[in-house]
Amino acid sequence: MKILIADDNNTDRLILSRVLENFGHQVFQAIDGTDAISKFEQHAPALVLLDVLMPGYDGYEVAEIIKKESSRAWFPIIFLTSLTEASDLAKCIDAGGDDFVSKPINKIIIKAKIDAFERIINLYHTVAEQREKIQFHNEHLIQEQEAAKRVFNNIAHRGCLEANNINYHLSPMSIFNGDLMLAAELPMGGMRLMLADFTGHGLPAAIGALPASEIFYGMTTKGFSITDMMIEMNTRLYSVLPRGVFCCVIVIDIDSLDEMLTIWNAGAPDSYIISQKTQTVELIHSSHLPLGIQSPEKFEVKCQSFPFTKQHKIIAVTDGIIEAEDSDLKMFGEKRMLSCIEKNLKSENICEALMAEVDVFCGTTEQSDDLSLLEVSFPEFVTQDVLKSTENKSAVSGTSDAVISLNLRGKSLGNFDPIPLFLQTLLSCNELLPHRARIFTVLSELYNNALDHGVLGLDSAMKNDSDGFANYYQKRAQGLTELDVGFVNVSVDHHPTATGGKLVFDLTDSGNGFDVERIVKEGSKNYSGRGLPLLLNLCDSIEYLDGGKRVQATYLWDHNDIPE
Amino acid sequence: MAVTSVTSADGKSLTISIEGRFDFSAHQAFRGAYEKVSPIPAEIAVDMSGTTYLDSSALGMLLLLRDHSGGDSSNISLKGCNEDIRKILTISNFEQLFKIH
Repeated sequence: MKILIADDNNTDRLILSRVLENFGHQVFQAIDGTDAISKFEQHAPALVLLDVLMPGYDGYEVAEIIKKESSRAWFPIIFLTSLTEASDLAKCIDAGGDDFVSKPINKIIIKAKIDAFERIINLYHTVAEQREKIQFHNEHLIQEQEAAKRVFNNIAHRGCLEANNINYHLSPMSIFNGDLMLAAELPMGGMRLMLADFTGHGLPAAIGALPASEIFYGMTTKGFSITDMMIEMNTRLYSVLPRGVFCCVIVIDIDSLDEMLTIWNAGAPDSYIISQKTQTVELIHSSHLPLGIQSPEKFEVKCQSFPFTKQHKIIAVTDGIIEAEDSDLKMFGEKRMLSCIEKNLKSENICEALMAEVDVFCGTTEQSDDLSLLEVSFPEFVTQDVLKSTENKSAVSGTSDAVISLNLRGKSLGNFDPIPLFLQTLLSCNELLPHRARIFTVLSELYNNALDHGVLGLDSAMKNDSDGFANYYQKRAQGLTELDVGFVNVSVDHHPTATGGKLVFDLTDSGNGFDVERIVKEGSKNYSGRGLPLLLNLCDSIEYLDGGKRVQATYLWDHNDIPE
Repeated sequence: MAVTSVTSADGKSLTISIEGRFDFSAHQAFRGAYEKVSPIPAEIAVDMSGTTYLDSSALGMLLLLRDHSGGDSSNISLKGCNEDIRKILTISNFEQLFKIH
């Protein structure tokens, strides 16, 4: 070991040097304080022995200077002193020394002390080495996370979350906290949103986000209902996630055509539907186990529906907000959440107000990055111009000349949604892609009319007030589960024309029909809410046959006339 | 946080008690409490009368216990839950999987 000895007494210094050299150390000698400082810089010794009393800089001063100015790893300083006052010895330690030895120096004691310090130096080097290794690994991990984040963000992208009817708060690294926020436009107008919270942290929490968002975007564009999508998502997560990792989720459909919101909350904190007209807040509680726990056979989705207009807003949160803690480990809590929402009912941006309140509440306590908050107002009805620019202009392809028909009876009417199937089959004809939203709307309006008003015999006049609205959807859901007779036959005939094609939708149901003439004469106001005027607007012709039990709608499309 | 477990004299039931915060830091201890008992008793009680806080990783641990003791055929009761804990269990609808007292 390299040792520096600084002592102005030549004899003492030479004797000690010889002793230490005999123990196998490499010794450098300094004749006074100034010499000690320059030799220290020159030779970088592992240990320094300093005489306290020296001309020029004394031992204390040398110790302070080399400890302060050295950027080197830690090294011990042992003072050599003939002083015996306790306060003088204490001063050695205050000046940055690590130990002291009394003069005259005892060979055995100095050897023992140097040996002890050598052990500490070795320990120090081991720790420093390990710390460097950990630092390296940590940096590596952060780099990996950054790379993973980019991949995850591409797959679990946020869709149309930047739309102007949405305010949200989501940390950029939230995916590694298991928080996921997705938004997509519904094919028939409106929006679907999902706020998901996977248990755990880091990669295990992020893994589930991949299948979840793929299913979300894949099935939403194809027109699948929340129920079908959540069944698929649960099945996938149940098979992919290890037991003990699960996903709390809120999924919301806002149908801007029917001015209706459909929501399902599985394991997440309450969501809040705000009516700015009546200045009230309705709480939507969790009604199911989180995703990934229940086996597919036992899994069941029961959505709730509410009227939702330009006067409404919905707020959804994950437990990060509710559980945000202040310096006394007190939680923000649901009460504070609700009262803050009530205070800001009229605010344009409740999200901002809530985050500010959480900020104030937490004070100096560091906030974790799992504070996720979503605020959505009514989305304007825009027919999508999907794939307009990237659309494949190849010759008429796929099912351009075909009849697709499906007859659903009894229980299947309640269990199966035929719209995605029709849509997917029809869209194998690429030229129809720009018309997707319109076709979806026409088909689902026609099918829902046949099912609701035909088979189930529900009267849409019920939907005129908000109690009736809830009642209507409750009756509909109940009707569908109890259904074991009745039918709807759906057939879509697509054949090419000179410049495009012609789609004829033909639906027959087992209901009692209706007074077609009267309804049409009444300006179609009272029939199926906003449905009929919309159908008349989108289709080239609509004809009711067999006393209202059968409907034929024609939709003509043209290569040169792509919908806006 | 402290996790203790007691098997009844006849070996038919196991009680696991959690004191303080039930979160990820309890993971090893909680797992140890039931994995060291073999065969696993048919009846399991998790005593939470001394538990002050429960987070989602604790919910995950409860699911692991449920799986370990037979999944759908398991018989696990969660006892002595305070109001906050009961609330968290209710939000997640865990009453479908556990008996909550």
